Amino acid sequence: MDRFLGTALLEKDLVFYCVRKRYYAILGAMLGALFLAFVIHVVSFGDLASATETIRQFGFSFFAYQAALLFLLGPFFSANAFISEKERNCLGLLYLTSMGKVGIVVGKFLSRFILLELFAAACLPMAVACLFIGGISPREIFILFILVSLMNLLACALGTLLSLVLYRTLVAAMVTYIVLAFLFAGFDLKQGTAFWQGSQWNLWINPINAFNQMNIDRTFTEYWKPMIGVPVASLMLLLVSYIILPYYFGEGLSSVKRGLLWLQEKTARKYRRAEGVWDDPIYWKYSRGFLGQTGVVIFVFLISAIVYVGLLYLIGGRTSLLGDKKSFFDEIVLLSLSLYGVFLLTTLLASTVLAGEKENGTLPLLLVTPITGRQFIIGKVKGIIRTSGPVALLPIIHVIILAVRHDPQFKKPVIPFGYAVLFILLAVIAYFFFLGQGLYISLRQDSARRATMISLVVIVIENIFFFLFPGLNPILLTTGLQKFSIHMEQSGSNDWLGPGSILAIPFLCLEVLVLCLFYFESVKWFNTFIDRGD
Amino acid sequence: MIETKNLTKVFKNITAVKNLNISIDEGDIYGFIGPNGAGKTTTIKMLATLMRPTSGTAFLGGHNINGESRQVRRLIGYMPDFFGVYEDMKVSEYLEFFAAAYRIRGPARRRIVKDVLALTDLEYKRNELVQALSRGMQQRLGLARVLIHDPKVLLLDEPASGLDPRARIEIRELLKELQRMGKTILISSHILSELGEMCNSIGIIEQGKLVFSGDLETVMEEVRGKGLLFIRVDGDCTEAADAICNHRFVTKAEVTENGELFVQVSSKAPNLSFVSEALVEMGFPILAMKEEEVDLEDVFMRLTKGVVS
Ligand SMILES: Nc1ncnc2c1ncn2[C@@H]1O[C@H](COP(=O)(O)OP(=O)(O)OP(=O)(O)O)[C@@H](O)[C@H]1O
Ligand SMILES: [Mg+2]
Repeated sequence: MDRFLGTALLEKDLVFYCVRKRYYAILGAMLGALFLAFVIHVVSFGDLASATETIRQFGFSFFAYQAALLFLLGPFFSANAFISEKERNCLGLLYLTSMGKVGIVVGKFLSRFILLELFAAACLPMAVACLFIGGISPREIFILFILVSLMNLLACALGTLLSLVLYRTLVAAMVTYIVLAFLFAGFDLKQGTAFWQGSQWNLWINPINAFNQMNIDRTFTEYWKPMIGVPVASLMLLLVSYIILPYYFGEGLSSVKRGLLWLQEKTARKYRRAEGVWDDPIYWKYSRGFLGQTGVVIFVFLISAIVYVGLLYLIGGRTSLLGDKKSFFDEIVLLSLSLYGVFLLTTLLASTVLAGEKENGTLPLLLVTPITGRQFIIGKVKGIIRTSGPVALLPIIHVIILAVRHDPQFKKPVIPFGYAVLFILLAVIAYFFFLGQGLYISLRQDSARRATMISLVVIVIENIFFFLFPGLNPILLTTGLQKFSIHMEQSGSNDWLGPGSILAIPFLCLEVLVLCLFYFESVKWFNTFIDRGD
Repeated sequence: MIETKNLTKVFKNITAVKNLNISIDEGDIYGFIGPNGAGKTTTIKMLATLMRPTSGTAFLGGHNINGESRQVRRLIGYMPDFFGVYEDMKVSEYLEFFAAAYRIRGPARRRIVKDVLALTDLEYKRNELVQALSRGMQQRLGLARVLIHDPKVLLLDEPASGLDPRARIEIRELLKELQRMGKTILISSHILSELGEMCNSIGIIEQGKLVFSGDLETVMEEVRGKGLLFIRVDGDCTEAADAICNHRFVTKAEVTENGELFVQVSSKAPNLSFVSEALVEMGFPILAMKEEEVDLEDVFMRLTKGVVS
């Protein structure tokens, strides 16, 4: 039994998680945020007659929040499964023990899955509290919980596999996010050609879809599909991990690495020829590795996006996430979601910039060179923009096309072009805000892993904050992401000129201010760096 | 060239470096030795302006490390004890990157990279990935990086760790060559024998306090001055030991494992010749006599207490 469960590994990893304060911090942030949502809901009861309806709505959005948060955490936890061992040169040692291949894969996978399930379960009491007020049945809560767990399952299995193939946690996590995002977004082909009609294949591996159907239709017609499809898919992913594990020690996986390096080499050659790039060695260094690991992220994103968008338009399907509603807002919800994903990527990328350099021990080498703080930070920022910028551009361009070409149906008459301009402006400011925030976290942390963890905590908190107060979030404000907000139907906050947007203006100014602060802090920090030894 | 004035560094609960006063002349190779945790790395970090002293200061080429860090940094080549490498870079790119960071542009950069690669015998690895280098080769790469901007002062924290004997000798020669070029080198190391061969002055530090600093020859003399003799006598060694033991200039006399007479002479004795005279007088003809050889290791063992902090 031990052999097949990888008990030793499981214990080691779980104990490791349990003694780390930061996991409690993440859990705390999550619980706190969900609790806040709960309180706000309870307080906002009109009369008791509408209470049950509110609670029902809350029950569903509660799980939607939880799913969103776990979606954020899952890939990240699972993506370091093997990479953390590789980084410490311990994978070989594990392989030599009597644990066996199955044990290693299952142990790694289970430890992540159990952790996420604990996170999910910790939020359960609050969901159950809804039962006492009514409006939602135990059966519904049970099914919602199962669907959230299924999502965890898929995230962990995919993350574990990618962790084995790739070499950097952040990259593996990002690729997992991207693949999952496209899988979950999915599309049902109800409106497609006769051949495709009604296939709805992605329901099988898309718990979110089932979740959404449940929310929209208030029925349980589709939930059973992912309950079969997801475990099967996860099992297959684990099987692949099991099969390729031995190749890590042979030549097999190193050819993946060689391939990446070859790509990198191709781009580097261009740089070596151009003399000008040497004026900014920091940027050179960053963009040199551009097509290496980071390139994988962009590659996967672009491929997924092309396949996705291509199929969507060719077949005339719609994103199933949106059901049958058809408006401009609905169209761009997904796009702004992916834009939001890019922002998260930016924060995570930026958070490793300085921390990674510190962890590597290369920071002192750079500090004693004549490179100034400004040069260093700007070089890094340019590198990050180059990495995540193109990805950010995709949804932005899409929004513009949508705004200008389609005749968007706003609830209030607005000028589409003006809308697009506003959207871009806000997107750019938000982008830099997220970048600056990552940079600042990076400055305060000593290891890349810690820095990304802290970023995740901050992002979770911010996310909740933004979902709770959509009026304060410029991006959510413009894109109608408020659909996900708990206030959606009551306040009809889809109107973009409402009081929410007035509130957003000082918030926007604040964001710009904080952004400047981040920048100057980082530069100052680099210039006056002193190893205080604490 | 390097001068520290009451340099002190206090961490939360320990004093890593305490009132350190050393002075290194231009063109010196200064060996900085001490047991683990003595404060060598801390001192070097402070000299490299990467750590602010709690009190006291130091001057490098006349520039104060507190306040003139930019000038100091231009002067130094710093090699940390543990230094990172950018693993996915090639050897030549790694060096070119740092050359560019030191604002070396154009053809000069390529030439310099070529030169330092030749100097550190890494030419044949120039297109290899840094992560594919062995530990010792990475160490050499670190040394190559230090030399890239032709610094006047080299601060090397254990540069020889991980090197094979041949490479060590080569590095020793390289450092001597650099010394001839007029560079001042501060080198910390645990491998005393090799420091002994290239340094002209040393500093010994223990628990943050300087035990000795100065000329290598002087300290050798000092330790040698204690007068330890190994004597082979014709006759019973034990008797000879008992006899000589009472001499007023002898502090200790005993028989060693291989049947030799070991005599420790007190520092008050004018010279060592009285031992042989006395022994002959007492009827123990001398077959052989040799003074104990002193090397840096003995100096180190003699001057430090072996307290690892
Ligand atoms: N960042 C730090 N925080 C707290 N204490 C430190 C820190 N760095 C060093 N110390 C302490 O200062 C003392 C001196 O450390 P240092 O690294 O200078 O020793 P060292 O002489 O270089 O030793 P080694 O030969 O092992 O490299 C040690 O007791 C160490 O524990
Ligand atoms: Mg040290």
